[in-house]
This record gives sequence, structure tokens and C-alpha cells, in this order.
Amino acid sequence: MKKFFVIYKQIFLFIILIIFLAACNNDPTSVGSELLQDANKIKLNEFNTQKENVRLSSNTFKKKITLGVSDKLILGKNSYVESYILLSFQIYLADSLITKIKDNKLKVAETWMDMKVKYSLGDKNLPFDFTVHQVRKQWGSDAFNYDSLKILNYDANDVSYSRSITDTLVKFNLVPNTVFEWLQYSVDSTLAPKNYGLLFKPTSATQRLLGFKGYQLTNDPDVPTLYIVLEQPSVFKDTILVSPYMDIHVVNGTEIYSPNDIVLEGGMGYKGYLFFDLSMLPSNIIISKATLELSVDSLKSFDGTPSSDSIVVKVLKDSVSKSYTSDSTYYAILSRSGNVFSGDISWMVQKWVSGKEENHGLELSLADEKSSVARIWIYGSKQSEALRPRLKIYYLKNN
Amino acid sequence: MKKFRKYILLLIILPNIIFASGGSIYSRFGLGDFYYSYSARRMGMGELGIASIDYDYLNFLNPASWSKLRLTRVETGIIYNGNNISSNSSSVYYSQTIFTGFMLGFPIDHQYGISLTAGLLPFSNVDYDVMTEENNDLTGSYKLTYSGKGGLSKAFIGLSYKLPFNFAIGASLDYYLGKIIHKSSIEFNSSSTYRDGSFSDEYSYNGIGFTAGLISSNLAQLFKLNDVKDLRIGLTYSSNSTIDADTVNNSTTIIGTLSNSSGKIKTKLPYRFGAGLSLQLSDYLIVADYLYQPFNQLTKDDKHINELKNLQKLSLGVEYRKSELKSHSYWEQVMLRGGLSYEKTQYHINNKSIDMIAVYTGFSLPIGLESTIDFAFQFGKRGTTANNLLKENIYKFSITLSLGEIWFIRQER
Repeated sequence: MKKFFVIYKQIFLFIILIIFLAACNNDPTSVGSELLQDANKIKLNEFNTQKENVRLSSNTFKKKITLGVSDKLILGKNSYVESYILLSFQIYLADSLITKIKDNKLKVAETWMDMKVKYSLGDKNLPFDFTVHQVRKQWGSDAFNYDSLKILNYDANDVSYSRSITDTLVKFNLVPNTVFEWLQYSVDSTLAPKNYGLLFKPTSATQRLLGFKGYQLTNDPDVPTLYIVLEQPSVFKDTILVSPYMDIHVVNGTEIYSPNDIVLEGGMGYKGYLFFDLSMLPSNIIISKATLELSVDSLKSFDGTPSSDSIVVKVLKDSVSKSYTSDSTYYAILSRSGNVFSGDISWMVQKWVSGKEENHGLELSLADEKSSVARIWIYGSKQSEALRPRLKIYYLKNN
Repeated sequence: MKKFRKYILLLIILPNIIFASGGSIYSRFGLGDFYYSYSARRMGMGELGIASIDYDYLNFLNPASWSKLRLTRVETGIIYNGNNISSNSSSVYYSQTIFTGFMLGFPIDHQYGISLTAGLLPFSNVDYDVMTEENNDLTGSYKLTYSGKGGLSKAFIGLSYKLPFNFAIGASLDYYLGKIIHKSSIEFNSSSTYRDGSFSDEYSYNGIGFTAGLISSNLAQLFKLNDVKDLRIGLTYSSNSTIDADTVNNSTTIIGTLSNSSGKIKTKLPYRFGAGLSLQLSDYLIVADYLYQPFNQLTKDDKHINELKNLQKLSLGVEYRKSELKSHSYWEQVMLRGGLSYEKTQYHINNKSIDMIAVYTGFSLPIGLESTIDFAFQFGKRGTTANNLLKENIYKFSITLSLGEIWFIRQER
């Protein structure tokens, strides 16, 4: 019995050892996939609002935007908009110069401004000109708007001369006495009126707009620069450079009448509202891709250089007040290719279909609405099927 | 008891350290593959043994078999399950090691055959992980992965009782519990603009049923079979059970994992009926059994599952055990077993039933008074590669500790 059992045990353990040492598989393999019937597989389905006859609505609305934080200053006018610039300078002088000004030994020999062109809207052959006026009232860039401009106190006379306007640079001289007054005020506030800066106004003949770099807290060689040549006759001549410490551009324009199309306009704060009724989508789905496409009416659009080629899309919590959802710091960007803006808004659609947010529509605005005055006209919901906004959704459904 | 601790510790640790898991996609259907034997002792002789009445073993298929229990018993073990799965085009080897739960048996009254038994045992197992690569013009190539994990366990408590004329009956209250997760995911290639996603359906089950059993007296005397030491027939019946399942659907999306509770569904587990014969000839115990469960009656959320049909299993086993120990040597106490079975499994896929044939062998080594460490090995073939099905070579290896001790005896002073 013992001998038999020992042999039996050895054979038994040998078989077990062979099995234990056999290769084990960790990863999924295709063996057995034949038994997965198509009806049980995950399916990628397409839902195209253009084909599905989805209820769609769109319009244009206006929302206040704060231009004081813009990185551009826009000056000029065209058929639908005019823009003004306000600049303020703070001049710091060396003690030796202060003494010379107090002793009336210094004079301003010449003063001019260089403003590098960073944005333009309108044909460069169209007329562009402006006047510069001394401001006589305090202003601030935080909440200044066109209504504030209407009550701003400034001198009627133009303190600029010898204006030179090219594609890349706007240069003009300032009446030296204007700047000398600022120097005197910075030395002794009783010697001259307070320095409130300059107002730039487009002339009535102007038909295009130019943009310049705005003050952005960091030293930037491209911001408008005031050159002041100080001279003590027969003793020395020195040029000091001064950059604005406060600036803003103020935009005024015609009201847009668009009962249905989406008109996005920089400067004025015109934005678009867009709503797709997605209640036809099934529940418990995963959005694999959702592309929003908007067609541009190029005949009604006015785009600048650089182009306003991006649209910001935000999720609305309320379609009437146009307030945003709590995660409005997240947004989607639509990019332009030809006459179509498109971009992925998968996460927004996923939130709607999962019931994480109620669908109150989307807000569309130009990504550069604070630094451009472009008008991008988007075909709205009442346009033909091929032109109206469309949402192509690819979703996964577990069967 | 101290000397068994190392074995128990080994059994607990082994499943956690050895093998990667995986299994057949057949377990995707219904509640998965079912366990008929959690112990090496029964596995070694064909898994069933419905009519077998044991004094040193806890048979979970038939509660009547506890009526001759001599000592308090504890049984636990592990099963290594290796599965070589082949399709028409390829094959893969998966393995899985599971802890087979435990059973406790307490003899209360030998005269009336009253024993109390309780336990927690694996009942069904779902384990598959399948991937397929597909392609379309819109998205390019992508991978679909389907996996399932989990299973049901059965917790039970039951009593046996000896009837007049030495018939034995027993019954247990069964509580089914467990979680089964089916997951499916899609993965696009890295350059695709489409986002991956995955769905998982989690079913948390719980439900109550009962099992009743009967084992006859020794019929050899009745039929005057002088060469037969013991002849018994046994019947067992597990009731229909309605098992509730809380269902949670999870989906992995661009905004995170979203959970959606879709409420309770009811799964109706059909009854199970078994009949067996046990025959003791000298030192040989021969058992023959039949098990039936109409899985075509299984419904999930009131829906029948097309891939499930009625299960039938036939098994035959033999155990060699010296009945009269002459020398009381260690080797005289060793038990040897063998068996075979044929099973028409519950799976019926692509218009073809999935059948299984298996052979078994095993042995028990004594490790003390009415305590053994049992080993068993099963080799089975299930299914076919015809009709796009799978053929499986199944290798199961089981180790069980069966410990008997005298408890509840008051020391005389």
C-alpha cells in the first residue's frame, strides 16, 4: 500500500506542478470574442442635429465687457463702430532735473509719441486720422465706458501735429508746452494744472481702425512711448522715455438688429446665444465626440488683422439672465477654418445628457472681444439646413 | 488545533499570492459557472455524492448526510482552476485560485442524528476578459474589451435528523449573496479624436432559498444483498429562489465616472434536484449521482436568457478506504479516490449545447484524529470549437482541510 501510494502521490504532484508552471495570461485576449454578438457590443452612434430635425434657437445679445484690462488700445472708426483711446502718464524726474525745472533753466525742446500698430481693421488705403486732446478731469480704467466719455472734460484744441501713419507705426508730435505743464506739475502741483493725460479721437473722415499695445504691468517695448527732449540751452540735451501707466479704449457702435443670427462683435460686447434641444438623445450614454460647427456670413462680417479666429463657448445656467454655470471658468474654443468655426464641446453635452446640468444653452463670444472690434456674423437657427449651427454628436451606448 | 494553524494560514495566503485570474466567456451568461463541490474529498470522486452519508465529512449537497456526524468539524480549502480555452483561431491559458469558504458542523444528538451545520461557500463564478479589435472608416481602429468578475456565495445554516427506520432527513436555510460586475470598454487609437469610454454594470445580489435532503437507511439488508455492506439512495432538492439585485451602472466619461442607480432587479434561480446512490463494497465506496437544474427557467429582470438551457449532470465515483485498520499504520489510513462525470451544462450557445466530460482523482492524508488533508485533481473538457464556440480543457486542483475535534465535553473533576 505504501509503495503504491508513494508512486501515486509522485505522479499526482508532478501533474499539479506542470499545471502550476504553465503560462498564465493576465491580459484580455480575443479568444471568445466570437461569442459576443453585435447586439451586445458597445456601439458608436451618430446624432447630427442637422439630420435629426432638432429644435434649435439662437440670437444675439449684449453684455458689458471691461475694456480696461484689454491688452490692446484701438483707435479709429468705420461704418459700425468708433473707438477712442485715453492715456495717462506719470513722469518721474531725477532731482537734478527737478531743480533745473524749478529754476526755470530747462525747456522741452521737442516731444513725440511712437505707437506701434498691433491690430488693424479695414482696408489700409482707407483714410485714418485722429486728434489728441488734453483731458481735464479724473478718469479710471476700471469702469470707464462710452457714457463716461460723453461727460469727460477735455480741451477742444488738438495738441498733436506732424502725424505720420504707416502700416506699422503711428507717430506724432505733441505741443511741447503740454508736456512741459506735466513736468511742472510733477515738480510742484502749484506751478501747473494737474496732468490727467490725453484723449485720442478719430476724425470724422476716418474709415478704419488701428490697435496698439496696451499697458499690461510688465515692461513691454511695444507699448506706446512718449519721447521728451529736455534741453538746457548750451549746457545739455537729454531725451526721456515715458510709457502710459493707465490706458483704455472706449468703443461706441450702432445697435445690431438680428432676430435670429448670431453676431459676435468685439469692443461692444455682442455675444451669441445658442440652444439645441437634445432630449432625443438616449439616456446612459457616453459622449465620445461632440463637434459644434458654425457657418460665417462673410458678406456681413468684418474681420481684422490679426483675425478674430476663435470663439469662446460657455455653458449657461439661465437663458434669460445669461448667467453661467458654476464651472464657467472652463470653456470650449471653436477655431476658424475658412468660413466655419468648429470645436469640441463633448464635456458640455455629457453634462446635459447625464443630468449634471440642465440644458439652458450656450453663450458664444469672440475670444478677443476685448482686444478687437471685429464683427463676425454667424448664420442662425432660421437659416437653411446647410448654414444653420449644427452639433455632431458621437456617443457610446452599451447594449 | 495548533498543529492545523499552519495549514489554515497557507490556505488563506495561497489564493492571494499565486495566480492571475481569468476564465471562460461562457460565464458571461446568467450567473456564471456553478460550483458543485467545494471540497477535494468530493471532487476526487466526481463532485457529487448525494446519497453518501459520512461521519467525518460535511457534504453540502445533501443536509441529510450530516446525521452521522461524529465530531465537531471544520472544513476549508482552496481550488486552483486552470483553463486552456481554444477557439478556431487561437488559444489562451487562464488560471484562478479561489478560497472555497468554510463549513462548520456540530453533532448535537447522535441518537436522533441531529447535527447543526453552517457555512459560507462559493456558489457561482463569473470571470472573463475578452478583447476584440475592430475598424471603421469614421474612427479608424479601436479595441473593445468585455470583462466580468465576481459571483455568488451561499451562506447557510441547517439541521439533520434521523427518522424511524434509519432514514435521515436534513434541511438548510440558504442565503445567496455576492456581487457580479460586467464591464465593457472601448479604446480608440491614440491619434483618434474620439474619446474612450467604459460602462460597468454592478449587480449586488441577495436572496433566500432552502435545501432539503433525504438519505435512505441501508437498503442492502432490505434486499438481502450479503456482499454489500451498505446501500443507500439519496435525494436532494434546492428550492427556487428569487434573488434581488441592486443595480448600479457606472460610465467613465470626459467629466469623470458617473454612477446611476437603476434600482432593484429580480433574478429567479430555478430549483435544483439531485438523486444519488451509494454502495459500500468491502473497502470501496461507489457513488453514482444525477443532478438537474432547469436553467431555462432562470430569469433576470423577468427576461429569460436565451443562452441558458437545462443543466444535467451524471457522475460516478469510487473511494478506497480501509474499513478495518489492522496495524493502525499511517498508510493504512490513506484514502484514494477516482471518478468521472458527464455534464450537459446550462449553456446553450449558437444553437449548440455546451457539454463537459471530466475525470477526477484524489487522496486524503490523515493529520490527526478524524482530520485529513484532502487533495483532488480534475481534468475536464467542455465545449467545442464548432459553431464559433470555445473548447476548454479544464484543470482543477483542490486542497481541503477537514478537521474533526471533540468540543463541548465537560471535564470531570
